[in-house]
Amino acid sequence: METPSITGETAPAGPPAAGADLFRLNGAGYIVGGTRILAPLDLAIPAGRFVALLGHNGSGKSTLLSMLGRQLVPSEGEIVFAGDAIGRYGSREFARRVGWLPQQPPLAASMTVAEVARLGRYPWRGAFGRHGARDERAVADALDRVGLATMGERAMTSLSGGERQRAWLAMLLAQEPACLLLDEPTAALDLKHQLEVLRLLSSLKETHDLTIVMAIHDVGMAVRFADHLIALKAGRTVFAGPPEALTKPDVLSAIYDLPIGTVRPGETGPTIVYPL
Amino acid sequence: MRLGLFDPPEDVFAAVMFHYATLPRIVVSLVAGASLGLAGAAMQAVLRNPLASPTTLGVSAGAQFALALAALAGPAATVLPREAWSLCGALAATGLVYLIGRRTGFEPARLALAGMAITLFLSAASAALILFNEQQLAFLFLWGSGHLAQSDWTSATILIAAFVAALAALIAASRAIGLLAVGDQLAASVGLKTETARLAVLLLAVALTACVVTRIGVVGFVGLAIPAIVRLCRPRSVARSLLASAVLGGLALFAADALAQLSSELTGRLVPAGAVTALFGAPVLFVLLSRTRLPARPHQPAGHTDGRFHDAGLGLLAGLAATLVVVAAAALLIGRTGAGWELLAPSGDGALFLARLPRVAGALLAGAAIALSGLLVQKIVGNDLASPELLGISNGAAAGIVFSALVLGVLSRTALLLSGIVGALGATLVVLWFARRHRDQIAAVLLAGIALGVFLDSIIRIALATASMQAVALLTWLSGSSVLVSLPEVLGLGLLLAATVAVVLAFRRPVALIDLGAEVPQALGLKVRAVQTGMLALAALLASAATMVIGPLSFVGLLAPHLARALRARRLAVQVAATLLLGAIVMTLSDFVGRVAMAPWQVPGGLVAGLVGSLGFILLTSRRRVAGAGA
Repeated sequence: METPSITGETAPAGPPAAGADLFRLNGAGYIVGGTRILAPLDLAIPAGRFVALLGHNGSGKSTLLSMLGRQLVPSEGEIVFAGDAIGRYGSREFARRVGWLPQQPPLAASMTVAEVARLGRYPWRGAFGRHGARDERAVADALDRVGLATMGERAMTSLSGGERQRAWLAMLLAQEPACLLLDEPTAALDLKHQLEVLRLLSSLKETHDLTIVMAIHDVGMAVRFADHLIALKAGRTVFAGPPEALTKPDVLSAIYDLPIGTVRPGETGPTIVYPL
Repeated sequence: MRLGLFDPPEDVFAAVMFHYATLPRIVVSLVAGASLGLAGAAMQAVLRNPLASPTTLGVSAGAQFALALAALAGPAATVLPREAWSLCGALAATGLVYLIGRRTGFEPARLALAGMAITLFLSAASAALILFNEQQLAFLFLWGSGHLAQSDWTSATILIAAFVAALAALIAASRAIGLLAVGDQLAASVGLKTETARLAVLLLAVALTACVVTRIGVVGFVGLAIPAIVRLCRPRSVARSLLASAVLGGLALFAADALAQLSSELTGRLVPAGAVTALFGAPVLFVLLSRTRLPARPHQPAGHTDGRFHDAGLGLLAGLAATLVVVAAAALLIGRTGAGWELLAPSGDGALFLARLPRVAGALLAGAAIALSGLLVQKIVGNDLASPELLGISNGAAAGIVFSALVLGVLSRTALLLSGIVGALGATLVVLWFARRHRDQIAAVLLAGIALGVFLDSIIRIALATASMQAVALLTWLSGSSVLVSLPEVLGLGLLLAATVAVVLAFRRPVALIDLGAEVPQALGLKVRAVQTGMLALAALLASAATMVIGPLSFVGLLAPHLARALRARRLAVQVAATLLLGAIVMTLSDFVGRVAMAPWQVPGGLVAGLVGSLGFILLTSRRRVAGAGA
């Protein structure tokens, strides 16, 4: 295929400045069955930011998130999390610091909302540890925070799509992590529920001091809610920076191979992105 | 030179043999194989289903069962030729599969699953019939597995006539078949009455199959594998693919019969050709499944009236425990002799009581063990249609046990149990390796498991056919008889079960997490692979221990967890307890019914449970929603 990039091998592997980067990819790439999904990436995820991952279908967003969430092990290079190689953390120790949710969470047909939220305490209590008052409070707070406090006893399958997504967010909050990794959390939702979930994430980021990394298709939503954007194209990073730098027609057109225009009605309104 | 091929001199034995036995056998194998290949190709085309075949749609099993019934009816059945009875049975079974298929939109794997469910049920029913009427139906043993020996030209003539007629009709209809193979909408848009045309072609294929089954019995998998191989060569037209399937099918059965005769010659025992085709055909189904891209269906949420669960609690468990006590007491105390029913007084008939105790306790514990094994398997696979019986795990245990008993000459129960566990684990690994590649396609996983089971079963049968008298004991045991259990073995089984239950309950959080698949539990810090491996080892251990008492085909491992869920046992601890109790109840009851129903004959309890269980499996496959996650 292709030779690993030189930067990937010589990039400084030492701990980054405290509070600067939560994740750092040093030439981390992914190959499956001889097909390269992700080119060796050198990338930093700054701590305390709301990061949106953009890119066309198959650009490697999900693969990147899975590698960050330790669902996949990079085929080459390394990933550093909070100053330590990502593989060095114990499995529950990592889950106490990073919450990860797949694009399609399980059906959980036989579970209630509260039971799903309580799953988030597994990283803390494991298979045998007793659940104490602190765990109950964490679960109750999580349900309260996502607005499902009164629906704890409801069956997961009786919820609407937006409510179900929020129940899984409650599980992630009950984990009390420092970082959330979300793969297209709004993909299956209508416009109203998309806004509902993104507003919730945005406020959670502030109140819980979270780092959020989220794959998302809708550029308009991404620039409106995220404060740091990373764009992938065919497994390579083509953009990393603030929303203002992304919302330029030439930048967007290069990412999507499509002539794209932007317009900003008024001085404070959200930027609207549209294909020409 | 006159060799006596078609006009043998009456006084040369070899010539007579050749003319009346060898030559018709060759012709029958060629024509029957061709008929099955043709029928399979036609079915696959009009159903647009690479998994359709006389075996997988229940056609052969239906025909065979009807023939057994007709044979039992004796002279009364002779008003109609045997072909007619066979056709009735085949049509009834196929009709049922067709109706189930319509409910589920003719989804390929679902249709085949329904057919296999009906096949399993009918083979349990046939086994029961054979058991009661050994003399009248002894021929079914051989003939049931496709035995091609001939003594005149009758079968050959009938088969040739049927084959030629069907081939002519199908070739004539090949344009309509081609349209159906492309798609219903297109076929309808050019003016074809799709449903009528499809039913007509299916009827023809079913009739041809029924004819073959009447003459030579069930020869499995030719109709499935041959069209699949033909398809690999990408035939350019329907007529060509039908013809190619017929030619190749004939050659395949001819080769299989030659192989069967050769191994019969070598071992001095009769090896039917059907066992040989199953041996080769089941792996073909396996490969076919792993290459077929089956559409995955999105999960549909189940309806809830008020969105809340109404969990069963201790009341349910108390009720089940009371039921179990009553059933076990009845099984211990009530007997039936030729004279009538009798109640045993524990104080008076101590000897009989003690003789019955290991058997009842063995059935009870084995039922509980296979039920728990089923619950664990359903959680690992993530679907409530899985079970150790359907995934070939029980067959794996049986194959391991038979292998070490026959080949290694091992007869100690502990050593047999160990080899059973090895066999069960091996089978489980094969199916799970397959399941990993087809995560959302439970029907495919189940079919693969059933194919593996059929494959192992045919190995067992061939092994038994070549074995000496000790095989008889194994045969009794394979049909699920608990007669041979001793008290120490029961104690061992009890200890094993208690230990397993303790482990499962101690690890209930990880076990419950596995319900959610692999990704989310892993993100929560669970060592998913380790937990899955551990659960699998426990499930295989339980399945092989239970299989040693009740045989491989009880279906209690499928039904008991289902019943528990239907009774609203939702939380894991309650679910485990209810599943154990229900498995024990069903198996104890089956064993009791088998002992008294036909007294003085004894029906193996495993067979009784298998009859009920496979019926339940048919009902489960006909539900519209199969995807429901194993809860």
